[in-house]
Amino acid sequence: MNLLAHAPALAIAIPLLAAFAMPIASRVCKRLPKALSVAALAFTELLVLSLAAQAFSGKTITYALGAVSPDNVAAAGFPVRIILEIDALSALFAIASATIALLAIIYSIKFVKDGSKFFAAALLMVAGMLGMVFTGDIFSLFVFIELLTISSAALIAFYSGRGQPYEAAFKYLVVSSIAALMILLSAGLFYGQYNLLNLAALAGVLKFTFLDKIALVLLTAALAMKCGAIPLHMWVSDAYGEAPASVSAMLVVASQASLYALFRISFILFGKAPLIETIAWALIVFGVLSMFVGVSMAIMQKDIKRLMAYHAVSQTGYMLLGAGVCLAVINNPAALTAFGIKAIEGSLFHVINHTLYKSLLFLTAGAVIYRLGTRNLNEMGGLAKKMPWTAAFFVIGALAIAGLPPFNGFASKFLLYESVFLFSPILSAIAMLVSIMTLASFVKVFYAVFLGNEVKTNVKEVPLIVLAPMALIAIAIILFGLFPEIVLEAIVKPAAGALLNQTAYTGSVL
Amino acid sequence: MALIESAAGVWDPLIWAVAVTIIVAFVLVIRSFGKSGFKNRGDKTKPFFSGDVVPESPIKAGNLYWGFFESLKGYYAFLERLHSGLVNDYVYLFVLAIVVLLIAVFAGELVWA
Repeated sequence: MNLLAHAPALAIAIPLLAAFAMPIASRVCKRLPKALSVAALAFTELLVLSLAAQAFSGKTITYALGAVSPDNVAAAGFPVRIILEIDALSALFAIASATIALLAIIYSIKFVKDGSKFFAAALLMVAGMLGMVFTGDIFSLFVFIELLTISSAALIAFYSGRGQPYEAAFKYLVVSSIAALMILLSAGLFYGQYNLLNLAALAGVLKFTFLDKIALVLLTAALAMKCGAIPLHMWVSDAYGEAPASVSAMLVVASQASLYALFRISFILFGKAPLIETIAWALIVFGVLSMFVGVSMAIMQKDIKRLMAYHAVSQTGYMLLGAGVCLAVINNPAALTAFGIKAIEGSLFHVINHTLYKSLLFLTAGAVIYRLGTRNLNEMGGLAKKMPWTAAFFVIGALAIAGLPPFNGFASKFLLYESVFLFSPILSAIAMLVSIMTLASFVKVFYAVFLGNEVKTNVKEVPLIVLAPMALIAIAIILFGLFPEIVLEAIVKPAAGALLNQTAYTGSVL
Repeated sequence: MALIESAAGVWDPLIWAVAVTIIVAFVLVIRSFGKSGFKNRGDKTKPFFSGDVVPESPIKAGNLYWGFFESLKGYYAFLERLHSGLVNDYVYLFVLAIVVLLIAVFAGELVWA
């Protein structure tokens, strides 16, 4: 069997199977679930990288589940099976999901004592994320969102000693289930009219009827809520705040998977719709509100995890703004060439950068909470000498998120500021103001956690296995900041091209 | 390799890094002219509080940016009301967003037409 030919299915199946093997593994040996999780995710990472290498070279990989031959996607002239479709855009989000999940699981090894349930849920979460970015049809998108929701809720409630994690998980479950139901309803609206669920096939036949517009609104609202856009962001601070730090890092990439679905549906399904300007402006409004209100809420927080959660909302706003600006000019070739393409490139580059620095910041917060036993910034202080590596990683993450050169956050924000400026100088000015407020917020955290008087004398640095994932992410942040052109050319530009080239996506299936 | 072009300009982090290295080198040279016997203790190391009594307890995270929050009291009161923590409110906001988007889509059709 050619393993690589089945890589799209295996990338989802391996974490799924490993998750169900966890109860057996924990009976065999207590350490086996940890080893099995890391091995499964490392293998998944390799599969994703092999798929990404093909996708970034311009190939769109299709895989028909259940067909005699996996490349037989339209045997009856139209797609009838569950089809996985991987282009450069899916590959970008898949790499982010698989990489951060692997590092987060390695980071968790030290914290999670009897971890079969934890690792099983984490693996299911990875299967859900990869399924969301690989699937080519809207019903499977609903199924994978459900898988992601249930496993994420279990992980958010993992620290069950207090009531708050249960409350956060419940809120997340309610909000996510409603969003998933709206996606299911949209799938029903499409299927009822066109007998199709495949996105590529739908893009070719969509007539932009009254029901299509309803479906578009439901999808936009549901996915905006799942990616944490304001005013639909309320679950983010609860879920990110109460989850273990490694799960918060995974929730960041889980939200990015919803952002992927929002981008894919907006550009591929409705890119040529007469109402696209309205949806573009909806994304811009979501983006601006998320940026400004997110950072406003972050700066006032006293809980380090909630503060970082609001910053995640704020950073999502940048991505929505870039995508909205590109979508607003998608049918205007001159404007698209002048700044629209750069706006979506900035947005997608920011997805990568945000994944890196936000994960790093959550992991450093987890290390601090592990040593001090509190999340309250007022009860912290003086850790710079006791935890120098954690402090250094925090500074790298904080400077990156604030968009200070030469870190990676600046490179993507630079593209966004300048392209958005040509669309609307006011929006660009708001984006810059938000970066200044982000810096102010992280100056507060650095002062509160690492400077001042020591609140606890017997604190020491976290173990090497906790530091190693943080170090790898920190190195990636510095390298991506110093050599942004390599990332842009190799990953971001092919992904932006895949998003804008509707014909390539639909043509690979039909 | 490091240069990126935006819609209106270019950014080269390596040139920036070289410039920062030169500036840091200058700072270190100037610093080397300082008194070698400087003792980092006494009144000169205390924070300057404009003649006010220096608070004994350390300034906590919650004390920072007091003026910012005070001047935006109304805005923050609104944000706190909005973030009630009630899941019912989360669903209300979702329904509201759908209604606003529906109005925007159908009204927008008339505007863009």
